[in-house]
Amino acid sequence: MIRLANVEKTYESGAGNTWVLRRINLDIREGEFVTVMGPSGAGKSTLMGIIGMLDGDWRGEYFLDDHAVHRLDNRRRVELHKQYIGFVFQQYHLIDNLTVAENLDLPLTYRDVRRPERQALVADILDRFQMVGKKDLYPSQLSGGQQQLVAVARAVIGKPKLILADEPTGSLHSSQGKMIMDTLKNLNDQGTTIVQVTHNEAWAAYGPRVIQLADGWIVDGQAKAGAPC
Amino acid sequence: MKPLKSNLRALTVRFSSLFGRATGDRELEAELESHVQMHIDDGVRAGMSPEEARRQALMKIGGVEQTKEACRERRGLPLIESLLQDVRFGLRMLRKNPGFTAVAVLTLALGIGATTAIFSVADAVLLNPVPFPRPSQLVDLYEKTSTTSRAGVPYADLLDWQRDNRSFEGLAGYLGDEFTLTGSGKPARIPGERVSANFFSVLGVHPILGRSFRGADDRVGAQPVALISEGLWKRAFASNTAVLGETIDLNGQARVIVGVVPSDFRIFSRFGSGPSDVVFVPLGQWNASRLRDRDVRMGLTAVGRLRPGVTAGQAQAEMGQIAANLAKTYPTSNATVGAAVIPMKQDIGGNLRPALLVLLGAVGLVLLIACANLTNLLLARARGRAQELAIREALGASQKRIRRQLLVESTILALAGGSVGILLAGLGTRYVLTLFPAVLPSIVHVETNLGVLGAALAISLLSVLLFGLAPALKISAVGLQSGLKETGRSTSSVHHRTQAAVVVTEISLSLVLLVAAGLLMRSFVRVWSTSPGFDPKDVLTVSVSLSPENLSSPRKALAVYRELREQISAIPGVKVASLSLGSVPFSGDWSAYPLWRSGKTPPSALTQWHWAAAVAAGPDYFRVLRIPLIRGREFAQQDALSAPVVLIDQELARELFPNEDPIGKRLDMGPQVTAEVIGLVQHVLPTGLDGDAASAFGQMYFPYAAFPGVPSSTTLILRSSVKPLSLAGSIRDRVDAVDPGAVVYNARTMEEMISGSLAQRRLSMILLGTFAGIALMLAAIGIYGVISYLVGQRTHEIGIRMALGAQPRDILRDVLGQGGKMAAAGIALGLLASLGLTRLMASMLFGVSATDPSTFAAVVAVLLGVALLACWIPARRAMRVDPMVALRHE
Repeated sequence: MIRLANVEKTYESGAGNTWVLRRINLDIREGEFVTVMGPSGAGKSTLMGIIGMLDGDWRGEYFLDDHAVHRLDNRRRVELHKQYIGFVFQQYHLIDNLTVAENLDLPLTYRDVRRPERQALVADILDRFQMVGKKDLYPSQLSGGQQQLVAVARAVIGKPKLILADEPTGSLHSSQGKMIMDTLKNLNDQGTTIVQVTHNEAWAAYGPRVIQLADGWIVDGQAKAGAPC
Repeated sequence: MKPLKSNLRALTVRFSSLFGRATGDRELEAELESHVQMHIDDGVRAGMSPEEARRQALMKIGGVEQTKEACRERRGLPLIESLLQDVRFGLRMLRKNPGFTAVAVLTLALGIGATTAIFSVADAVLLNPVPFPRPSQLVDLYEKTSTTSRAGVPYADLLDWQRDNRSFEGLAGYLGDEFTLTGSGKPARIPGERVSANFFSVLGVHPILGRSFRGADDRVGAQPVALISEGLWKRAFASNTAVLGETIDLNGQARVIVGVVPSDFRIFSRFGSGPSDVVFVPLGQWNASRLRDRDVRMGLTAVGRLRPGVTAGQAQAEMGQIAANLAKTYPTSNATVGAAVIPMKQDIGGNLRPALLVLLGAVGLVLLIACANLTNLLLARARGRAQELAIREALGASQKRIRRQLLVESTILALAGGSVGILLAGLGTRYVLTLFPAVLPSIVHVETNLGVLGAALAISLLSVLLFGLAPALKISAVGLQSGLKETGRSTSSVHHRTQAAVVVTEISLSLVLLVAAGLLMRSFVRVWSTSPGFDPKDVLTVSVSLSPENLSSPRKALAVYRELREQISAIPGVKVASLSLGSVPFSGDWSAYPLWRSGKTPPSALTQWHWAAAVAAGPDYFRVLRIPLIRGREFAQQDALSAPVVLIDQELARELFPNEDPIGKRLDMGPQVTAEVIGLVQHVLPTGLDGDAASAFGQMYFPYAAFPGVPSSTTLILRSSVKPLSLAGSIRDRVDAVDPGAVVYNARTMEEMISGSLAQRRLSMILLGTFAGIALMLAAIGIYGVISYLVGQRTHEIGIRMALGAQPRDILRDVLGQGGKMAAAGIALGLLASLGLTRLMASMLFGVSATDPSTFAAVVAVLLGVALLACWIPARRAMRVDPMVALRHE
């Protein structure tokens, strides 16, 4: 599903170029649950940004199914992003002045889904995530775990084939973290490809494949091709 | 005594330490070092190692840096030092934010400058226009007729008023005129006033040299005397005090100079900044028969000083009674004639009052918008600085100290804006005066009003100081912890709602101003496109006053005028020339005559006759002005010699001969003369394009050769095939050749005269347009500032939206929508306000209703366009938000 070939990323700095990612070669098959690990500054989030097409400034080749992302202009990348990807962030990144239902509705509005259909989808996801009673609450009225649950629900409402979760449990205590990981696992079981970043070995164990990054290099895991669960 | 002495010494030391601080520090360091060294030496002598001796010495002294700090505190003036530090820091902050500083200073300056300039003019014209002692006692008096409430007073009526009234300390009259000044170089035409003997004493004006007129001067046959203006005295007589008793030749008559009138004396029959060469002659000396005819109004104005305790209303009642008595005594001339007593203060600014009130309102709104803008700028800045100040507080700065620092910064800003504002106020006042001198009454003395300047400064500065403290107040409100975290979202949303409300207010106020300016512009275009009834293009008018020899008899004068017309017609570039002895359209002069249809019994009172504007027209008059002849014929050469004939215009024809052919009909022109109508011409607007009182009068033309008496001056009119004004030199040469003693003056194109008649309308339009432009600019800055601020606030949210699939165009739509909502709310409020307020300026409009839909629509489109443009720049910045950076930021 995802194939990265010689992907590299640098930042201009006063002292010259700073390498963030170096010669990344990576294949992820549809339905995999992949964990990216590594110390701070290893390039994990940058890699997620590139895969999620939030970052367009890199070198190398990136194929998403049959789409050569590296050849697409920004507009086409955004279209592809909407078609394939759902994001879950460590800090939830819910919009404070929108209610739970409105936060869930947001990605659908960017996909030009008609209003009645959006309402149905939001109702369905609220039901699936057992948040119907909280639909009119604002994020600040929810606990961290609940907020992250809304963020996961928001990521999946557009039925993405790929969920990128950047430290989804990083701000949660363990029971809340488990609830989120179970949800992701559940989605993976239903066929959604999951790529997560985590520092937590226990959460990494939810998937069979771990990719280790250090100083921008893949030091372990690129050769392993875990079977889909 | 001793403590006082020592305190003084300490104070001196403290003050002196403010200067030469580096030297003081060096000295302190050296002294402390020597103390330490002495202790070290003692220690070494006591057997310690040098290191141990130094350690012990420092322990004894208690820390070199702390000791230095304590000494510095005792030595200097900490308050002044920290204040200076605040000033330095404030200046640096303003330098570091040049955009903010420039906009804030400019906003302040525009608000203060515009307000002061207009308030100064309004104060001079409306509130304190009378430059004479005890101004509240002064009134102007006119006669009220069936056609106007401000008709000139016949001299005979003035004499009766003077005799019969008990309300006035003195009642005087004055009549504007022009005189040919000869004897001191080339003959010149200068303005003058024929005044009654008590004129200067009624006004409370004293000559700077000599005396004013006496009763004995003010009668026919008295020795010809004159007062001259200070300007003329300086120019023509080199300020010679021996000028008294010398003579001055006016209209060929030698008059003895009896006094010099101060240069700042002006009366308001004259407009403009006031000519420097002016003469005054006694009114009663003039033996022209028309002056003493009660049927003839020559434009004489009466001015009276009320007795102490008498009100204008009481005077009005008495004058009404006197007028009624005159109507009984002289029913032919005075039936239906009343008297109008108007306080001079009200009379001077009367015409300008509506325009000035609208401008005052407009400039008040500009000041309000400027203050609102400042508020928003400072609030936005407060948001940006809250964290910095929280850090300062966390590091030990007291709330008091932080507030002082903000106050110092605001004061610097306020002083800078105030200084530029004062400069703009001076320039603005001068701009209004110099650009449109024809509009303001010359009597009015306008200067930058310090009281108004102070008030505008105070309002603006207060808003700066008040909102400059916002960051400190915010820290107090949200607490130090929140300030440091900068996540006080509830505070932020209140904050941005306040800013949005301010912008909505700004937009609504701007809309009111734009609508007002738009309506005036449309009115102006309508007026400008109104046809005056003739073709003004390529027409030149020149006034000529013949030499006294040629004015000795009507026959001689007419022969010279005929010769002049022929000579002028022969100048290359002149297509056709004529002359007029009455009024030329838009010259500002026009006179009306009573008419009645022959054969029908006229009313006994002339005031109840029909009145028509009369023009003595030379040959080809209608060709020069291209006034269409509708029926009949123009004047022929023999018309002046045969029975009286006239041409009339459509208006007069409708009035006198409704549904009849007027050609061949006869008119009684006053009780003695009857004339035959030989032609019908199109109506011409005599004084203004916008339907003033004179436009309502029908017009009658008679041959110039039939003019009664000898006119002292005439107006040559010609149509040229070249630039009209380029002919002025040739005309002067030809007039010189015909009559070397003649004076040629007032060469003006007809288009210039028409344009001049619109000066007040143009002034209002330009000033209101300028204010509306300033308001629009300020509103645009305001909305830009708020949207920029909100985009900055929403960077993180925009990043999330992009991560969720938002296209740049979605973000653009979102940001523009946010600005659009504010603009729409402002526009809605502004429209409501405009619908109410524009009715107040209905009297200034022409051919446009106060709720003209197309003006409103155009203004809404402009305002919405500008608002969206102002949002466009921050919206573009929002579109370029890098989601990776934005998301990481949190």
